[in-house]
Amino acid sequence: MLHYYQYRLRAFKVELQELRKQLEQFTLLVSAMFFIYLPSLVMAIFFGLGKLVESDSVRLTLEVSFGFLLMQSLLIETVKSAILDSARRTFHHTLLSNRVHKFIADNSLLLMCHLLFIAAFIMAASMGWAKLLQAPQLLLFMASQFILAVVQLYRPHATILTLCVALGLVFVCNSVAMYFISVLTVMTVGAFINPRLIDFKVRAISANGFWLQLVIEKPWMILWRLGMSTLTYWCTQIIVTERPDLADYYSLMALLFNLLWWSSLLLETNKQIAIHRGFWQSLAMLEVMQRSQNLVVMLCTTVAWLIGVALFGVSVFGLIILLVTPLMMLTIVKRPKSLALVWATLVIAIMLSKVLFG
Amino acid sequence: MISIQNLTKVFLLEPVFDNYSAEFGAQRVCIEAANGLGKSTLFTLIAGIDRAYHGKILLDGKMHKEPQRVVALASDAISFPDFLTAQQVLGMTMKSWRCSMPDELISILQFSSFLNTRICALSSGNLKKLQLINAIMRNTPYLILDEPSAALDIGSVDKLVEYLSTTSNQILISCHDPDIFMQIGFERQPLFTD
Repeated sequence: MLHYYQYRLRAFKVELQELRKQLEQFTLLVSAMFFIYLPSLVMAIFFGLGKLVESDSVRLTLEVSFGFLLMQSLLIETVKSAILDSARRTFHHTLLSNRVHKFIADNSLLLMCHLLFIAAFIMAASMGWAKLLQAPQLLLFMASQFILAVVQLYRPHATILTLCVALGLVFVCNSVAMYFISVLTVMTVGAFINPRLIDFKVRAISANGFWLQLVIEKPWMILWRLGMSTLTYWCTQIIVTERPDLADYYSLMALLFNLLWWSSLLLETNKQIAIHRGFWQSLAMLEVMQRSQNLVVMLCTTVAWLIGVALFGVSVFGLIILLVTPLMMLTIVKRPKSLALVWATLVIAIMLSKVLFG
Repeated sequence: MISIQNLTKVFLLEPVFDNYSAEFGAQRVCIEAANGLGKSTLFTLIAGIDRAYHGKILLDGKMHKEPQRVVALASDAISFPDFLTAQQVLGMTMKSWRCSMPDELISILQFSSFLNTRICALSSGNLKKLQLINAIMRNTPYLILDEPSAALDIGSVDKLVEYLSTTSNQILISCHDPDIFMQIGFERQPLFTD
């Protein structure tokens, strides 16, 4: 069976390379702009895990745990098709007589790229067994991390359910152990819920109905952005609380990241128009669909912007970010490869203006 | 009558049609050509699905700004959104072109039980049936069926041919096994005369 595992590793690497190629320009620009913050980001992960191990506030521990679970779900969603080799899943059956190998390969690859689990594992290993027994919540957290990741591979709807319940429990639970046990129970129950039970079909498909059906079929398209916005605003709020003197700059940065998350929704909606161009032409609906996708994306971006403004307050530069949204959208439709460059230019221009004239 | 005048269509610097002219005057035409010579491309151009070409395509002597209003095409070149059900796709066509659900045709092609199936879960034969129903239901003056018998079982081909024999619109098809269509008056016409 070695040949199968070798194949899976190769397929995984090829897909990751493809993903890296797609994000190359973006990663390069973001790294260049924020390289100074990168070590802090890694430290922040261990700092967060530290809060989980040792904190006087149960609420804070639960918030950090939820933040980690949400972040890992967003990261795994990005590499899920590479882990599962989704495009060639049926091909696996032509090589295997036993499905066990497929699950072993899936979960080994999952562990290899589950960075937050690896970070928690490093932390646990550095603590040693004796100290670890004094902080059993870390072990429960790691179990939740791993099981949630496995659930996300095979039962994505259960992940959504778990995250929703986990968020709700943050405000209700007053025991860390109870929180994790509840989360693990929901995951297990969720894994047995038949997804067909929550199957919903839009009765009459119009332009907007099509987007609604698309979101129902591919909820991660919206959930991923919702998660990213939540994490962005949450982190910003923590930083703003620590450094109120820099609040204006960090809140602007949060709005700029928000602009990136939501305007990039056009990449996915525009793909639907491009792939089915012939279909839309045959219905004389091509222009209607193009208009409606712009409307939907603008609406989502504006709502997310409004939430940011409600949290951090409105400013002239914040308003400019909303006003440049159509420019970002136009770039994505006309020249998607320039997305990162245009966004980076906007970030530099707006932040520089803020420094000079703010 | 469909008339093509001086058509030039280029794919990645490679011309598929170079100053091509042809007339399809018969009521039922079966266009013949080997694979890869441009039958499907020509169909998408006539149906207004692909507008990137030079030349003229006249329908009864008139150039149409939106040919898809009078031409319906069933072809693999039109890919349906794979997460919609067949019913939802037909519903969109009904709304766009204000036509009614083709219950009779659906029943003739034994497609009723697949209406609530997602496109991605349809077999190739059923996907072909959906393409055909989606085009025929519009009752347009011109109907183009690209390989209508491909992937269909023999019984369904017979029923399709029987149904087409009752229609009055001009029909263009491409088919590599056209004998059964010849029985209802289809005339063979090569894509290129020389």
